[in-house]
Amino acid sequence: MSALTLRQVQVAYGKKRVLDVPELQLHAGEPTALVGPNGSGKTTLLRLLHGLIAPTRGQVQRPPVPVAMVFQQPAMLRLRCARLLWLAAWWGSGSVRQAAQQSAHWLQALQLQEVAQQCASQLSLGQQQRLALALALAKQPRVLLLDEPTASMDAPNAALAENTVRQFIQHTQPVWLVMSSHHPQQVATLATRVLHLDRGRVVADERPAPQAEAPGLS
Amino acid sequence: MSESLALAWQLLVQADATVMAVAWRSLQVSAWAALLACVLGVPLGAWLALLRSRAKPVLAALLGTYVAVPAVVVGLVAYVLLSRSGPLGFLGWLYSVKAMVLAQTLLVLPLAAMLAMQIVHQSQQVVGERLLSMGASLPWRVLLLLHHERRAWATVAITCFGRAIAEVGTVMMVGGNIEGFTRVLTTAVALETSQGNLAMAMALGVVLLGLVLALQLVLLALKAWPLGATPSLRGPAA
Repeated sequence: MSALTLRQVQVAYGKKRVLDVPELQLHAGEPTALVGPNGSGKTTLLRLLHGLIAPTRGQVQRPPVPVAMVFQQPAMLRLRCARLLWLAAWWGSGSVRQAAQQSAHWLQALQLQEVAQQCASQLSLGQQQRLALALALAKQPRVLLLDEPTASMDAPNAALAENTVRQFIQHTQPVWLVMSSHHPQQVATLATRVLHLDRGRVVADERPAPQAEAPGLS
Repeated sequence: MSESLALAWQLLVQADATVMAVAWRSLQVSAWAALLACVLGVPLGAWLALLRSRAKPVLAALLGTYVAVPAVVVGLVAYVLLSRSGPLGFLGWLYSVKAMVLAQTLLVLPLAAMLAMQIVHQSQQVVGERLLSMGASLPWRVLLLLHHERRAWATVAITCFGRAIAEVGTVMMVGGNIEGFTRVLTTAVALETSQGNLAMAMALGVVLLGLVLALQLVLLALKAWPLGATPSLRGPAA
């Protein structure tokens, strides 16, 4: 399986260069965390990996597999949660039957059954972020990009989200997981590779020793 | 002025048949034009907002130019299209209500498209990337963003209607201001003014203003209408 590869990539907004990555390979089965201060280029790198933005210079090679992303701002459409999830699952699978099964599964997995018939844009931020994760997973992606996926969640829901992601990457092979996070515990729990970003550059690339699973997250 | 207001009040209270017929025709022509302009222009504007092409700025500039085209030029184009030797001459619509609807549609179509483009562009910045990430194709994104902004479309429709009903040059050129057939409020005001019947012209103007005011009240009511979940789009139960 090919890697997600960046070669001589630069991204600039006007004259301001926000990302400069000479060479980077991200491998399936090696969950990768992007860490760094605000404005270090984490979100730009994730959007670049998704293909939502094009590099100003250089090349991004993506394997021809489905990509999904959980955005930092969980802005939602004015549609019922169940409908939105069904659409994501349908676009992901192309099957009406599978879409119904998938949407029901992810509603349950992320404990969203109670709000299934509510308008997605009227949920709380934490609920919207759980729904955003459900939408990404319902697409059955092979490249899963998470941009601070639990930033608006309380501790129990963050643990639920982390656990759901972990189960997904365990049961889906091969899968590329790239996430940005400000929570060291979350990074230690989910990632086996950590890229430190600063002012648009990768300043450190670590593969820390695996940690024991945090209690309650298995 | 007071004489005109009194006359306007008198015409309305007495439900003057001629005035009512002219007002009703104005409403019909403008409503049809606004509806057609929205049906054609809103998807066009939404498509332009979501288009990822180098031609997009050029197309947007062309649309902006179209918005700024004077009404009489639009009327002239409609007249040429509908005249006996024009490409649509075979329809035989010139100096008919249909011709007025066509001309007003051509006039307000770019307005509907431009407003739709701006609304969908803003909406796209908020939820567009989510739709892309979910795997929505362009037609689905257009459809869902139109649905997402459904409250705004009432505003677009009423804006188009307001622009259409206040217009005089275009309908005069292709309608001919024929009494009992193609005379509308604006052309009637122009005629009464040219004949020196200023009180009557003012009275008709007041009627026109009353219609526009009524529309604004409808718009206010629509804005105050709470939007819950989406009863119009029924999905399978989870």
